[in-house]
Formats: sequence, C-alpha cells, structure tokens
Amino acid sequence: MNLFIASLAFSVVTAATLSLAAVAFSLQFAVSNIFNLAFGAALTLSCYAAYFFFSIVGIEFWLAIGLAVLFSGLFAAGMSAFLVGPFIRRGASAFVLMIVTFSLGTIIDYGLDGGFRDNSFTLPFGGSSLAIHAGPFELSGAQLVVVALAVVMTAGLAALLHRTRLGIAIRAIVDNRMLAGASGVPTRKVTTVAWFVTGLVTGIAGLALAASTSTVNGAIGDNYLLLIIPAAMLGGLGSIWGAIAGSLVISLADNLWGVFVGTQYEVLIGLLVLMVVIMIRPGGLAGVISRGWGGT
Amino acid sequence: MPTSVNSAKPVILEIEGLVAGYSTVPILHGVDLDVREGEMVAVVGPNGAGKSTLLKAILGFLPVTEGRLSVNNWSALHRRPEELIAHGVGYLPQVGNVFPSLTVAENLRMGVYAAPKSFDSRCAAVLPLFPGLSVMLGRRAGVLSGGERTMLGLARALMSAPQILLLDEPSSGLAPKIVSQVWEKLVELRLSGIALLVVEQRAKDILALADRGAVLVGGRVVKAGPCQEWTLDEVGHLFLQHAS
Amino acid sequence: MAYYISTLLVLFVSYAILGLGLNVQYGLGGVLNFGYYLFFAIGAYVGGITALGSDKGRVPALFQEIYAWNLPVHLPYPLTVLSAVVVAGVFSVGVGLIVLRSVRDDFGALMTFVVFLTMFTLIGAYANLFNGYIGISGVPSPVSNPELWYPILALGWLAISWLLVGAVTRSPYGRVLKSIRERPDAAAALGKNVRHYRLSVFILGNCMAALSGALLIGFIGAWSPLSWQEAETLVVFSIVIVGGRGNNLGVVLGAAVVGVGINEAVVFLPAVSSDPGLIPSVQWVLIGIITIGFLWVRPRGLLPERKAKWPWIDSKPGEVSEGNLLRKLRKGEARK
Repeated sequence: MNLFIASLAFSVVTAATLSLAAVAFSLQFAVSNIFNLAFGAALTLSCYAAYFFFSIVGIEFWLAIGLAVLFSGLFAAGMSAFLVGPFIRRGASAFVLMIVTFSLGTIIDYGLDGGFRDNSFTLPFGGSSLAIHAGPFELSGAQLVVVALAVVMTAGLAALLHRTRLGIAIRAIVDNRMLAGASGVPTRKVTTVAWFVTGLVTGIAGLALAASTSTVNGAIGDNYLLLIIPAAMLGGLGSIWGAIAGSLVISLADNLWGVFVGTQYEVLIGLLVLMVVIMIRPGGLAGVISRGWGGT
Repeated sequence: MPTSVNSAKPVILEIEGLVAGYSTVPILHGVDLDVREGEMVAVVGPNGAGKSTLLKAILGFLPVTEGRLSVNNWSALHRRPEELIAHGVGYLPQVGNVFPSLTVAENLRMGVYAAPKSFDSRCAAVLPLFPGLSVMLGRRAGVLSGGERTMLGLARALMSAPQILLLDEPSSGLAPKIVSQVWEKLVELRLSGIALLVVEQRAKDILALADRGAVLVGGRVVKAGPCQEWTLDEVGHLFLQHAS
Repeated sequence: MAYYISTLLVLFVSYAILGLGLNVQYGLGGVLNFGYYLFFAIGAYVGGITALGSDKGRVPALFQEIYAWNLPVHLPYPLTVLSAVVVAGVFSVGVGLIVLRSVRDDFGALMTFVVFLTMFTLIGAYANLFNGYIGISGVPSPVSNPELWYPILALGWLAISWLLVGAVTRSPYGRVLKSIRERPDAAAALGKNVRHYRLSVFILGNCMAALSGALLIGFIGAWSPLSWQEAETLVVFSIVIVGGRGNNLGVVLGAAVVGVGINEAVVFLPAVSSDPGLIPSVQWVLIGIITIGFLWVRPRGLLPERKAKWPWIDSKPGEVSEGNLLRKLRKGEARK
C-alpha cells in the first residue's frame, strides 16, 4: 500500500509536465480546430533552442532557458499566423491541416537532426542535491520546481482565460469564431496571441521534460506525444481542467503499471486509454467536469 | 406604424452591383440596396435566394468579386469583420447568435471588444432595453432559452453602439409569442434611431413593419421600394416566377 | 550501374504500390491513415520471416530471438507475399474497427498516428516480436539473378496492383466510395453503411502496403525500425499529393518524381555528397517543404483527378473553421 501512495505522489510529479503539454495541445485544437501533429517536434525544438543559446551561443543558463521559452512562443505564433491560418482561410479540411502540420513536424525533426548533428545532449538543470527518495522513485529538485511551475502556469492560464478581455476573446473564438469576428473581436490577432501563449507553455513543458530526463535526443518530443494525445483526449479537448485530470490519470496508470506489472508493454497505456475514450466517451471527461468547474 | 421614407436622410449603407460568392458559384448577381438613417429595410425571398449570403458578404465573411459597398461613405469592401463593427455596423447571425460557454456579461463584453472602457456606459444604455438580461448576467449563455438568446444576441450587437444593425432571420426557431416580442424590440430600436437591415422568412410580418422592402430571388433584387402596400400574393408570385 | 538501375526500379515499384494503396484510402475513400507505413513494415517483417523460415544455418546467431516464432518451414515465394498481406489485413481489421468508430474523422486520423508511434516503440523494444531494433536480415531473394529478374517480378506485381485498383475505382463500389468521400452525410442518408465502406478501403489499402513491403524486403534482404521511421509515411503522402490525389496515374507519376526522383537527386547535391550523414535530413526536409508547397499552390497535384467538383474535396461535417463554414454555406446556397 505504501508503494501505491508513493506512486500516487510520484504521479503528481510526472503529471505536472504532462499536463502543461496536454493543456497546450488541447488549447491549440480548441482555438484553431486542428490537431497539431508538429507538437512533438515543437517540444524537441524548445530543448534544442535552449541547447543552442546555452552551449553554442554561450548565454548564461537560465537566460538561455528563458530565451528558449520565448522562442517557442514566437514559433507557435508564427506557425498559426503564416501556416495554419492561411490554410484555414482557404478552406482546407481538417485532414489537409493534419498533413500540413505532420509535414512541418518532419521538417523540424530532420532539420534539427541535420543542423545539429549531436545525437544527444544534456541541459544542466542541476538540483540533484535536493533529491528526495520515495519508495522506488527519486525526485530531483528540478522536478519539484516543475510541479510548482505547473501550478503557477495553470493558475495564470485560468486567470488569463477568465479574467482578462483577451482571454474571454480566446474563449469566444473557441465557442464560435464567426460570431467573435462579427462582434468586433480581431480574430486573427487573438488567434495568433493564443498560439503564442500555448507556445510559451509548450516551451516550458519541453524544458521540464528535458529536466526530468538525463539526456535529450531528437525523439524526445515525439515519444512524449504517446502520453500527451491520450491525456488531452481523455480530459476533453479545449478544457484546461480536463487536460490536467487526463494527465493525472495517464501518469498514475503509467506509474502503477510500472510498479505492479513491470515496464513490459508500458508503451501500450496511451493507446489503450485512447481506445477506451473513443469507444466510451468521445468527448472526454470535460463534460462531467465543466458542470462543477465552470469549464474552459 | 412607421411613416413613409424621408429620402432627405443620409444614406448609411450603400450597396451597388454586389457580386459575391465563389469563382465557381456566384450567389449574388449584382445586388443594389441602400439603407438610410433610422429606417428599417426588409429583405425577403425564397430559400436559397442569397439573403444570408448578402449579410455575410457585407460583413466580409464572403469574398466580393464585383460591386461597391460603403458604410457612411467609407468603402467597406474587402475589410475584416471587426473593421465593419468599428465603423458602426452590428450583426446578429441566424444560428449561433451567442457564445454558449461565456456568461451573459462576458457575451456583452465581447460586443465592446475594441473599446473596453465604454463597457459600463454601454451596459447602462443597452440593458434597460432588455430587462430580462440584467438579472442573469452571471449565467452561462448556453443555458438560456431560444428567445433569451436572441435578446442577448441583440444586446451584444448593440453594445458597440452601431448605426446600423444587420439581422439574419431574428425570428427563426422561436415560438410565435416570442416572435412578436422580437418584432416589438425591432420597432423600439428603429424608433431610437438605429437603422435596420432585416433578412426574413416571415415576409408578411416584416413587410408590415418595415419602411422599405426588397425581394431577393436567385441572387438579384427583383422588386424594391416602400412595402406597406405590397400584397402577399404579389410577393409570393415573385418568389415563384423568378425561382424557376 | 546495372545494380543501381535495378534498385531504382524496385524502389519505384515499391513506392508506386504504396502510393496506390494510400490513394485507395485517402484519395478514393476519404480515410486518413498516419499509420500507413506500419502496414508496409508489417508486410516486410512477415514477408522476410516467412522466407527465412527455420533455416537457422542461413542466418547469424544474432537473430535467435525471432525463432520464438518457430516457423517449421520457410514458405515458397508467392506464399511469403500472401502471408504478409493476410497478416496485415487481419491486423487492419482490428485497428480499423476501433479507429473508424471515432465521432470525428480527424479523431480517427489522430488515433492512427498514435497506433503508429506505439507499435514503432513496441516493435523496437521487444526483441522476440521482430528482433527489436536489430531487425531481420539475410532474407533470401526468390529469384536466382535478382539484378535482372527481380525488377521484372516487381513490375509484374505493380501491373497486378494497377489492374486491381483500376477495377475498384471504376466499379459501382468505387463510385459509392467517392460519394462517401465527398458527402458522407448524404451517402449515409441514401442507406450506405459509411463505416463498412471505410473499413473496407482501410483494409484494402493496408494490404497493398504490406504487398509493397514484402516485395521490397525480397530485394534488399534486411529490415529494422530504422527503415520505417514516421517520416516515411510523409513520403507516401507526398507521392499522393504531388501526383494527384484520386488519380492513379498521377500517383504512379508521384512515385517516380518524389519517391525515386527527389530521394536520389538529394544524393547528388554538392553539399550532401561530401557529407552522406546529411542525406536523410535533407531528403525529409525537402519532401516536407514540397508537400506543404503543393498543398498550397497546387492542391490537386500534377495530374488532378478528373471530374472533381471541389478543390478541397474532403469536407467533413462538424467542422467549424471559417473556411469550411463558408464552403458549407456555398453548398447550401447553391442548391436551388
């Protein structure tokens, strides 16, 4: 039973990073009604950006991290303004947009592969002296920082979406883009800003992922998609609280499987959850949660 | 009942030879229409005549290939919707006329997106027209009834203090009792000096209320002018004649 | 040089059959499958393992793990290909039954992407499935002089595939598929079981992918996860989009232009020829750019499908993006 509690606690830690990524993926879907298949590549990109600023340009570490997050935000905003937006306005179908973002993801993945030539690298987040041991799990200081960061980011995002004019406009676009335009909301500008915000969150998620694994390689983001997509779908797309709940469930299932079944076939968890969601509750958990939480 | 048109009043919305739709399928084939200050103009026509398309083309949701369009002598062609709203146009779509997951107050805030500071003063001006709404400001729009949604949509459109309101079938999907409330509201708005361009299926009702009417069939205006004297037979005949 | 030409020919046939199969799914049936290359890989694995059989003397001890399969004999040639097709077909039924249940078509497409990523990790990580990341090698060629005869054999398979796909496209069944692709709601209203039709194209397309995989491994003799990374799926999409979605001849042209032409041209770029490690990166970045470019500039491809009414044919009900809304409006308003 102790092991169960330990894995519960550890799941909160792993869910922190996952929920940041799932929230960003989910919000991008809600705002532009597309699945961003370049999302894994965008996570990888933020790690490489930090590596570039820190190891190659030689900027001080935490400044490099900040620049990488900013870069990630700008990249997402650019992707929305110059790629996704124009295709949507042309009337491209959801399928075409999936192929477009898939292509972009491939371009990023292999552009990084060809451009950097380093198979893997490490970002020195440090904080290992703070390590806490809980059963078979080990938490580093950096991971605890990530949990705190996730809480702050989520609270900030919720405040943005519910308390500010811009955030309400983002929710209005999620509800009905055409009506938002006809009400006087500059939909293109707000969409770009929304993507910028999701890009910042993506960048932080990518770097938090790098902090929790010892080495970064080109597949770090795409492998993580196996957890992000099921977490976002389980939570219900477009819902912050849903994405967080979904991330907790996925992390817990992942860790319990690891403890009680073994790491064999652990990779199947995401797919299994996704299958259950699609068969039983295609809208995800958000339908339940929004009643209690006021939704988002 | 409204009086006859005062043609000395300035033109607010002017449309000339508007062709809109797509390169392969134009839907409007040269529409001429104008709306003067404080008057109500009704556009009626059979299904698929291009009534909703006309409003969407005015707002810039559909590409306009030919023609002229101006609001208060400002060329409104090829603009984004938010620019038209900033130049005094308000719009109530036929379906999806509120943001369901936003509260009533948030819906109203979206109506003054460009001028957030005027929110309180605009609320003070608009809410007295809709006494039902003021008591449900914190409620989510998704739980409102059809009639309440239409009223909220109208209030939201009025928040930007428009000179002209474009209404796309405001009576659609509503019970007869609610429809008459909507008509009352339109008359009230018209009397307060706002110009109205109303697209309607219920030709009889709206032609009796409006100052002028236009019959749109197959993407063309086939009859226009003061509509108080039009008979339903005459209008219905036009629908059938031109539809084939 | 002769070997190089043989390789290009086999590669071309392999991409052409892959393209035709994807075209059946995406071009004809309107089913988007990001896991398509998985079925190609399954075809290659099964085709390779059945050809290897239990003839332990022929393969290095490194591959002992695969003999968990304990195949008693190695199969004679056409049966290796057939077994690859059958295994991929059976697996497709399972995947398709779940994926095609999705409420929205793009949810299903997303799920195929997850299926691919999961299976890729699984096959790589568990050695007693297909020998993990090491993969299989030493697969014998079915013909005695592969340099000469294998391309001819491959072209034979292409001819069979071409005739099959052509017959399907022209049949009443193909016309129903097109109607489902363009207006799934209308086809459903006419009593067509949309899900059954989509499942059938999903299976047919994946079987063709497996055929192509079994064909390729008979020539190159080795197969491992390095040969089927997710970017490979993009190459096939690119072939269909550049060639002309829905047009079989266009897809074969796309296989020559993208699959063979661009892949080979990259090798001769001056910057790349001095640094062979760059080849895959440059190839895939280039193919990604070409795919997006074609979708923007010439979405219907080099040889557009005949009689297509709409430039963006795959309209999906339930989408609320601005453009789709407008297109739906147009359709509604255009009906007189």
